[in-house]
Amino acid sequence: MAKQRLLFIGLVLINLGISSKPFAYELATHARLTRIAYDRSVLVERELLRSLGLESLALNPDGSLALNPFGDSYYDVSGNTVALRQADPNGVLFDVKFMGLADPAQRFTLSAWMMRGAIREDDAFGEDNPQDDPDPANARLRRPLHHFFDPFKNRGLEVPGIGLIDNDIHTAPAWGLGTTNANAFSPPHTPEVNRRNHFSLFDAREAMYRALTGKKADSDDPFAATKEGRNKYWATTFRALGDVVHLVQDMGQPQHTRNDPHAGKFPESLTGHASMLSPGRASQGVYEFSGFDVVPPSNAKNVEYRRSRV
Amino acid sequence: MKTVSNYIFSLMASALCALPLTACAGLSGGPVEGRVLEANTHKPISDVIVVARWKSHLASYAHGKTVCYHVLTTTTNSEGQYQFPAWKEDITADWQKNIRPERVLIDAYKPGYHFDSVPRDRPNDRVLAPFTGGRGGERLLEIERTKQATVGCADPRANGKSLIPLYRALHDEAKPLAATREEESIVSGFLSWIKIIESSGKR
Repeated sequence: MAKQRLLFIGLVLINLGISSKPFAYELATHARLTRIAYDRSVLVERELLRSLGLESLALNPDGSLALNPFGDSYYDVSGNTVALRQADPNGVLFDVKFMGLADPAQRFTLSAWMMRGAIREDDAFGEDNPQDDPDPANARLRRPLHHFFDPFKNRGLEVPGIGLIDNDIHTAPAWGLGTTNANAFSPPHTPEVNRRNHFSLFDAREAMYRALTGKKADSDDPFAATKEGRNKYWATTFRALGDVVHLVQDMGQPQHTRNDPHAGKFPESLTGHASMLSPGRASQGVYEFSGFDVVPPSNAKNVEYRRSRV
Repeated sequence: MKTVSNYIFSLMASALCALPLTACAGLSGGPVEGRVLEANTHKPISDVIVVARWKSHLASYAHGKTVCYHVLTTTTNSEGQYQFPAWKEDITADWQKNIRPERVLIDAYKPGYHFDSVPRDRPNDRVLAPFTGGRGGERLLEIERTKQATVGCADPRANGKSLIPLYRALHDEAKPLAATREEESIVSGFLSWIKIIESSGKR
């Protein structure tokens, strides 16, 4: 009985310890940032789209984005396994409601596929996303655990007990590239074998190669023989780019670069502060921000950005 | 000593079970009631579509997000009064157990009006003012913003179908205002949203 109690108390303490759950941009914010990045990128240049053979697919004759250039599905590739995935598998509008589209008919444009990737990069087991990852190794994958990188201390997310949730946490650069932590800053980069992120930069490149050629990068054998099949790889390409862009966005945040727990769950003394945006006047479009303390550059290396709610 | 130890143990066990209250009790909200008044005159406004959105921070491992877990719409009566009854529903997905009810947001919409203020002492009331801006694109953007504030609730799991009357009203006001192709796209978007909401969750 005494042992059981000790075990119970231990589990409670572990639970409190791993309750350090930083959160960051909302999904809609990721989508909007991605849309703005897309609008300012070379992807809006017709010449580039023409050179990729995408112009007639992605654009209408007047230059506006075509509504449905690639269809509504894409591929999830893991080694030699290729699984077809639907953009809205459960019919719950999961991604489209975060995209901020005036007309949901625009949910499959080229930029929408990137927004979709930026939204789905936050997929995590036990949350309200579609939970449609076909890879058994990813059955309990929580992608956000791999969205952290502290460049001063060369570390990803480090929270006591987090290894019980995931014992192979990648830094954001390694996760985004599709390589290992050790290889993330040691070129030449090589893809990690059996990686759990199927929408890394390596995956985007492979999908683009298949979209352009209908072949795998390491084989001359025909692979995606039909136009429809190649188009699904285009959708995969832009979805994966969206996933990578999500990580770039996260790296612009103190929370993701300073191992900052700020989940705001009980007890805050252990889990970190809650959001500094006060919701009190949200219905009036006013969010009051209590903010972080100003950090002098000379002390930046040492600051954890932890602070009690004010 | 043993009694104290047992007491502490029971207390901790109870506390642990109490944390996910929603897991036992399901999701619930309301009742919510208030009035919609006109700025300056302070007269009640009837036939205003009022939207109540129940939102929560969904904390998870290493991140969190805001979710809309229920939405209701109703219309004010001749006294400008509105009322949302108490509601309750079962939890049907694991993630809903992590919902920590935080706040209900109230929005009020009537063609030709825009949001003015919330009375400090009556947080559920809304004050609208006649829209005096440009009748074309400027008003259209105002209408579009009203929709954008609610699309996060356009989810069958959040009772998103209740948004349909709002989107129909937005469409009806927006339609004669659209002059450019882009504005027509915004207008047709209301109908697209209705169509998608009606068909969502049926796969």
